[in-house]
Amino acid sequence: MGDWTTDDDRLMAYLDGAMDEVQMAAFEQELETRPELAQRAERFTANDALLRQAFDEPVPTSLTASVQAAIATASATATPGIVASNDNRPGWRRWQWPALGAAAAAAAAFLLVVLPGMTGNDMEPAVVAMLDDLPSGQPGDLGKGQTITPQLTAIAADGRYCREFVRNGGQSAGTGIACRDARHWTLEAFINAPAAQDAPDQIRTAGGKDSSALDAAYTRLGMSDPLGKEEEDMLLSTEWKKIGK
Amino acid sequence: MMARRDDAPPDLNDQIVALLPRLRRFCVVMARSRDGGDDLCQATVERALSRRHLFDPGTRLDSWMYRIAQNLHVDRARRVKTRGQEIDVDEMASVKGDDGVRIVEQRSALERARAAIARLPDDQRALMALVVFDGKSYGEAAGLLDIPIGTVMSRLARARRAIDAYVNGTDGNG
Repeated sequence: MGDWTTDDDRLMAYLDGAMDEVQMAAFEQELETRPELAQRAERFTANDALLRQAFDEPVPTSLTASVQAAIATASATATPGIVASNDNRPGWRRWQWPALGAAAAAAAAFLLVVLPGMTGNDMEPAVVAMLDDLPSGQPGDLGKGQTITPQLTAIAADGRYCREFVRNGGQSAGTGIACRDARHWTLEAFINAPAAQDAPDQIRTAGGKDSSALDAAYTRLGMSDPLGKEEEDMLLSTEWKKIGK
Repeated sequence: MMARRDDAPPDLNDQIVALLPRLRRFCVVMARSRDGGDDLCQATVERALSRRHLFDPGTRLDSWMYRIAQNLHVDRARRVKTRGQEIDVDEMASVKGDDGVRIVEQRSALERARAAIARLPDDQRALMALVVFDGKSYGEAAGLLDIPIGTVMSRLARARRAIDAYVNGTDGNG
């Protein structure tokens, strides 16, 4: 019976339609003489049917709509190098929304600030230290009730390591991206979201629109997918030496 | 003879929309929740669209997109771990924690089936999704996941035993 030496192998091949007619007939004959195996085959067949039924669901209309919107956006911005002005974000960035949402939830008003090329010297030493040392997901205390939490680490097209971070508390709360060359961190983009009472008259914009500022930075920087934990740990422990290839 | 547009390639966008029900099912199984699956599905489509120039029209779109979904799922699980957050892995079946047995009997058969899938390890869940739900051959599933066919079969056997134990209260053998 083929290469299938165990009951399990034959049972799987039987259930999954991998047997030809001869093999199937032989196996069914075997089941006649082995009631325990036959019962198992029967149960597994019923389980499979139940599972198929359990996952047979219509696609939610909201998903169909958002997929079609993504297709429309992609078709409209198919030219390489053109950055969409809407929130046509790279797919994996979707997973960052909860982090951004946490910052956004703390603020009733957004002040949108994009600061391309602000030099590393303008970043507070405490912030620089946190970006240097903290693994993603671990908050660092900046004092005065303020924290900064790196969200992820990725590599820009120019080879620099970059980190997205969320800063909570005070006027400088928000979320941003900073990239590191051999010596300095440079703030590449920042969405400032101070507490509501601090900026009651600022122009209000929808959160989704604001986040496109970070997406634009991601696009401009040509950012890679986020590094895995092992790679990030390696960078933190080697003071951001290039990962050898 | 009817005029046919043989020169026009089948529209990738249309194919993606047509694939959506199967892709979504794969994503729901992998993410272990409907909401998580919808998010994963959307992210998969967005990534596929941004990399459509990399798709070889001579190959299967579904396999390509399942692979994207699988990679995104792995990345995402890793990132969640890195961040020290925890997703509710049993959200889909509303089972809290590993002690599912005590509440098994209160569930409908379909809920129990979903819970049984949610409890499987990632590698077994992916194979159930591909082979049992999607009807992929062992060869296709093996190619998609870069594992030998023998591994496909042994993982499926383990998965089905675990499901049988959970759904029917057997030891998966008898």
